[in-house]
Amino acid sequence: MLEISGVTKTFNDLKAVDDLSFKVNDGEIVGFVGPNGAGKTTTMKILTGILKPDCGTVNVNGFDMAKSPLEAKEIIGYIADSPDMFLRLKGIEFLNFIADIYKVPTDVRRERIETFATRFGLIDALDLPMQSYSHGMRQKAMVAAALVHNPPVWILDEPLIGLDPKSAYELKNMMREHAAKGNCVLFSTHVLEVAEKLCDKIIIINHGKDIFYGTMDELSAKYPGLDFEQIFLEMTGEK
Amino acid sequence: MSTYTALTKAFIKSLSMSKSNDKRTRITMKVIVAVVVLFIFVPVAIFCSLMTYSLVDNLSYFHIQDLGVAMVFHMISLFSLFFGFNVIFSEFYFSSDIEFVRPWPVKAWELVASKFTVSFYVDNAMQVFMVIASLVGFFFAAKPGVMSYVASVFATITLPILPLCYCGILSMIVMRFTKAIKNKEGVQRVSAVVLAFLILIFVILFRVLASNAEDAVHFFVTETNSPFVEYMNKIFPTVHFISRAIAFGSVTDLLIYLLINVFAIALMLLVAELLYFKGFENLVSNGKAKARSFSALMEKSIQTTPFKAYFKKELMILVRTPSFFTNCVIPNFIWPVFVLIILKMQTYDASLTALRMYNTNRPKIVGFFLIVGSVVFSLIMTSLNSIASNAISREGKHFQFMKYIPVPYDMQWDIKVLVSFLLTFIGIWMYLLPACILIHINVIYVLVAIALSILSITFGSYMGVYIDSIQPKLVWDDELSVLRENTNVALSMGIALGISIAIGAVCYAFYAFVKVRLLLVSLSLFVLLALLNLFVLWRTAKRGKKNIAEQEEM
Repeated sequence: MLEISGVTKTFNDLKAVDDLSFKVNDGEIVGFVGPNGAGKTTTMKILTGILKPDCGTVNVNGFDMAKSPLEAKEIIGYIADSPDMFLRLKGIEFLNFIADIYKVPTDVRRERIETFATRFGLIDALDLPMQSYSHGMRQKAMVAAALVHNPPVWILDEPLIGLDPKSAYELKNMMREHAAKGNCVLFSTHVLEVAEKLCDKIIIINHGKDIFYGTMDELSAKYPGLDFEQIFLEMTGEK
Repeated sequence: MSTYTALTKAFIKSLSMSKSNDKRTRITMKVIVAVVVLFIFVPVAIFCSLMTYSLVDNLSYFHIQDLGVAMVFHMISLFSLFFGFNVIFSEFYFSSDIEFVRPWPVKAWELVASKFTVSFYVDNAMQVFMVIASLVGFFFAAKPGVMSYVASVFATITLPILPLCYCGILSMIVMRFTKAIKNKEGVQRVSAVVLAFLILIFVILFRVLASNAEDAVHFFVTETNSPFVEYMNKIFPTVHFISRAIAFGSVTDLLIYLLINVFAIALMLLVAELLYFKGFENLVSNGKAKARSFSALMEKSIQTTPFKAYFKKELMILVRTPSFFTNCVIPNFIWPVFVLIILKMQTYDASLTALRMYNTNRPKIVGFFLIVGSVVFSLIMTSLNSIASNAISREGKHFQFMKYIPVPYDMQWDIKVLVSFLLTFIGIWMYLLPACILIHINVIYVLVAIALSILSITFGSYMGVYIDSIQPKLVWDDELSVLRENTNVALSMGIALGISIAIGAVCYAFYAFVKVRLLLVSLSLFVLLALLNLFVLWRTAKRGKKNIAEQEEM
């Protein structure tokens, strides 16, 4: 379970996140959508403990991020917005490094690395420096690293960017499987179609405020006769 | 706005370090900058001024005072040439913005002119400072006319143009006609080879010169001329004319100087039109090494503690990143080469037999120099390798990783300090300890020196990381710029140098003039270093973690 309550974050008098509250329940996939600069990445950074909110609380499976940050961070799997990380390491070194940081036992990590490497087609690249990877390959390595400790809470910042169709398909399936096991997934995307098909709930954010939080059915009921794209443009005032 | 101006403005803006919004951080940074100016810039300025003053004062008897200025300017030009090579290559071919700009309808000469200006801006701060300081020395010694002042202004601004033009032309020729440099790592490798080659030449030169002191003096200056300046004038003709313009107020020489600079730039831009874009054809991504089998990789995948894993990651990044390897790791292990050069330059006998004899006759003096020297050298080396003072900045774009992993900031901080400590300590004592054994220095003195060295490196490492945490340079274009454009490295060096000078001077004064016993000097150093360590640990505990937690530039 992931819950954010009354969170505000200001940068140089600009409110990037404004009194934001929502909850991602266990067993749910929640899509986080909004225009560029709406505050999605800032919110995700607050949820993962990277940024400290001016006010409000973040709760991850019962752990308050301000009071028990290490416990909260241990159960989060986070994919950052850029996959250009530790490029001097080889893929296998990077995965082992992250597995060590999250204290994943040897036999468990071997099994998981094999699973991810097979599903994402990474096997032949694992012994190469990540600097030689394409953008998509780096993103796959990031996804594998974020999930290698099998965290119950997934926070994924635009995880599908750069992935080839097969890997994107695999990741979407993995999200479904993860949620089906009673865990929660929050992911941001600009591809409305993906959010519409994959998510149990949608959060639409604009200028740091949530302008909608609910199921697709609830959203469609509010705007009869419009598809998701039209609704999004209508709500964010970009039409 | 012309294309050149627009590009240059954008490139330069992307170099600058952001200013903190926190008033306390800004004040702290100002204080530290003042310390650096006091302990790095002022000593360098005084050295340059005194050297020029002395040369010009002596040479003016023979009416060849321009040679004094020329000698210093040649040194500065060589400095620009050596350090400009890396900067020019990186800026021209390997900065991350290049791949965005290349598809634009920009002419080769415009892009090269803009990149050259950026390199000039990046590489020039210290040189400008040295030129000004040298000119101050000259003015005190020569009391010249108005024209000399005018020429001095031009020299201050434009002296490094020719060396950097050489670097620019050379880089374009190398990239167009050879396959020697295919990526950024190649630049680092070639730079390291060039540097090693130059060190070798200097060692040989000094050995040759040291064999005959009279020849050595005549190489630098005779009563009418200077063979050194003669040789160097062929490499940097601009120096000959600007020195004469400054020394004798000659307008003709100044005009020739300016013409040569204009010609050099024009030639470089012409070469750019012919070669620059074609030079990119040889660039390739990193080659793929033969990969091990998946089962072999799995066998090596064994759990270790977060501490060990993080430590290993820090080491791997330092060793595998060429800029960090050549600037942060290598200096710890090649310093004996420089010591050798200095020893060869001395007139006294520095052979092992002589040192043993000296140690037998005056063991306490040797003990004093070992103990105080190890403290001072450890502190300077810790700041010089900058492992600690760019420890946070090195994280760059993935600084946020430090914040979202479940590893306490304290542990991450301690690991960064440990890496700095180990590399510095091993680098110093792997040579110093055998040297002590060979010279037969008293074991007690050696143990005291090692203990004080540990305290000194610990203090230097914690201080470096702390300074870097106040306002780390997290936005950088390539790894070299995190070292060269990061003021925290200079700040840390300034403080270390200041403390070292103070410790060295006070200890020497007490030991040599007040006749304080070596035991008391050692005890005082223990207390002082313990206090310094306590202070920096207290600051780290009080503000260090907060500095990381509150850092929001990502």
